[in-house]
Amino acid sequence: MQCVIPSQHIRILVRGLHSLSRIGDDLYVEPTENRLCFRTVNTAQSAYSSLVFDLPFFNQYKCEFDTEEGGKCKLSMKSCLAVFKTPNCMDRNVDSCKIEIDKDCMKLSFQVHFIQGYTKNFFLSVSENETVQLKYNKDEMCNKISILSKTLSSALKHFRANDDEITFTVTSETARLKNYFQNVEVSDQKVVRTSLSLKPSDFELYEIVLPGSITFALRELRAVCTFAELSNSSPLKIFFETCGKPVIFSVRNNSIYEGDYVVSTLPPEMMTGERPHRRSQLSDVVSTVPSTSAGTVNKRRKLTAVVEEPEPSVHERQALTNKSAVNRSSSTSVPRVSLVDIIKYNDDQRSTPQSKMNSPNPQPSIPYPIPEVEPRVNDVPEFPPDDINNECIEMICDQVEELTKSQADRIEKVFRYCYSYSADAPMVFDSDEILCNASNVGIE
Amino acid sequence: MKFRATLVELACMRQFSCIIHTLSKLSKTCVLRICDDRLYFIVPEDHSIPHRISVWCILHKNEFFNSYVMVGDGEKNEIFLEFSSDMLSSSLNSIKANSNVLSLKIKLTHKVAPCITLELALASATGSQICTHDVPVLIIPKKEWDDYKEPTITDYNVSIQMPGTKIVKNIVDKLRKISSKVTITATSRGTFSMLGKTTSASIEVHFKDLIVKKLRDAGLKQIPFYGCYENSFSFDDSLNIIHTYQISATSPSASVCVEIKKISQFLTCDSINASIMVCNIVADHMLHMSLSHNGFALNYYMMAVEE
Repeated sequence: MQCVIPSQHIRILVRGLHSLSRIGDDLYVEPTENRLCFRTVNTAQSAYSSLVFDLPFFNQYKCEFDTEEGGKCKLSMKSCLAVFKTPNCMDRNVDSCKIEIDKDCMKLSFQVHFIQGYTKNFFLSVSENETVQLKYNKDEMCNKISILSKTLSSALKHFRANDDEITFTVTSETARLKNYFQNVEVSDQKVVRTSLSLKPSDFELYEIVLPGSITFALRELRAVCTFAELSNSSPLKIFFETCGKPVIFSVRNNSIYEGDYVVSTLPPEMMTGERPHRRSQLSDVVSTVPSTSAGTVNKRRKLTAVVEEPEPSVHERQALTNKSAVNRSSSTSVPRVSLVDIIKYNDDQRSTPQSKMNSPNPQPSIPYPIPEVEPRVNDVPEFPPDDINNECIEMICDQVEELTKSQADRIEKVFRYCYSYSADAPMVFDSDEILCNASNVGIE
Repeated sequence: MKFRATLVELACMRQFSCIIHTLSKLSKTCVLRICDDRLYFIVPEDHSIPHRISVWCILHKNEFFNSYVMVGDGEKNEIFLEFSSDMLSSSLNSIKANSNVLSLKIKLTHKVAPCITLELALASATGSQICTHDVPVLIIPKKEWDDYKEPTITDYNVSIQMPGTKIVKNIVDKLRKISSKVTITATSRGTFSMLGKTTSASIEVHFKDLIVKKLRDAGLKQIPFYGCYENSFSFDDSLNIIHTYQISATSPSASVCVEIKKISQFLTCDSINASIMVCNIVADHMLHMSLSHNGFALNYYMMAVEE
């Protein structure tokens, strides 16, 4: 899998990964033909989050794996965060980012191009080839509300940093946020109880079919807010029903990205403040939950997750077990970023962009030279305006007979990239692939 | 027992929140004494017999509150409450950060246990939201009221107006790194100095031309005054004292040595909008710093420690 993310979408990726890091310790990456998913589950298995990026998010996206199960990667969240350490400065300084998963799904690499002209390469090792997926249905939830992230963030500022849980009570007239304490007698002198009430007019959408209260962890809600703050225009949607059933937070920007956060809530018997006891599991999905060490004192319902592992064929199984053995042994020590290269760009070296790629493949012998891309300068280079471009492309497409759609698309792509300002030969993968031989047939 | 007060002006709310924030830095628990026309915040010094007061803060009702209603206990009509200053301060944090707080209501309530309830009315795009904080309090019985009497020390040796709080705070924070104690000296010539010593060096910072409010001769030492007004200085062999080329005439001064941590905690009050900070010294005995403005006064008493 290879994809390139343009600079205007980098902040979405960075914020998304940071918010996922506040939920779980492992990141599951699953690329499919049309989208790229990042998922995580927290150690207590009470929160699940899934970020999906569709094709319009990327400048380029290509995903080809041999098996249907290929491409699934599980990485340590810490190593991913090392790539995007400072979210604020990343927003401004990154020109583009390329993510690549190699054929064997052993390594995931990030190639980050900065506007100052240098590149950082990060190679992260994949600890296992599996993913996690939770089945949930937003439409089944009868209560739907939608709130601007700014309103929610400023409401959450009134709660202390060490408040663990928050109770959200809704009726048709008011909505109230209250901090909730477990294991604490009601008349305890040691805590400040905070309550914030909102009116339905503070929400963009307020459809309550079943009034009631739900209680969930404040930490997860704050993680949702860090991602939701990205977009002021599209509000955060919250789907929930009754206590005991999970609450789903959804942040969506049509066709570019969609983030879903599923957080479990306290069951009714806990809400009355009785002494905690072990609870039954939510049996939505047949669970093959990997046993986690944490969670002994977890009072919340576990979201059961399906862990999919690639089903290897007979020959591959042995290879895989060897590999997974290797993986496991290497994953005992936290897989960290293994290599960071900084490549300095000089203008004169732009003409041989191939040599700058940090790829182990030997240079293929190319019968025809790759067209030189103009060296990047800070001001916009002059290129023919779009309408002339379009005319040329149409002309060419018209003249060639029996052009199939995919061929026409390809031609258009080639021309667009050559003329596009953000075209960057090293970033364009497959730039060593010859699409069609030069047609100088008939020219002496 | 009843208490209900409202603050409406943003400046008053901010000031109130800064005062509580400073109190939270000075001590974990605090006593609130509610009288007819003013509030007192009192912090007794821990582990001291007889009970000494280390913080005494007065807020006049007319300068802060729009409305103020109280019904107290006993003939003096007062209420004494003990609360955790940390909890109150964190509840008021949002006033400093946001500017959309319309009003603050403080009430004494009984929700299963006695509480101070803070009701913040917040302006939002579509009307107002209300945020309520219930801070648990402990009601102090009348027989213990005598423990919280106003300190009445008036026989200061020197009373001098201090230089800007921010500068003093900066210097104290730097001196804190080298020493755990600081000696404060004030002279009749209007000089205020802070001295921090280690085994190998001593650093003294002088502020000159300050207004001396009061001077009581008896008990003052006649210390040769070393003024570091010029940039040139040298160390003597033992590297103990900084000499200057100018030794002015001896002038009466008073000094006291206190824990630097306490001064540093008090100087978090630089966020409070206040006009004057006065430093009163009882030589070798006590340091009293007082911050005052129309409508409130914050006094901090620090006992001397051995050099």
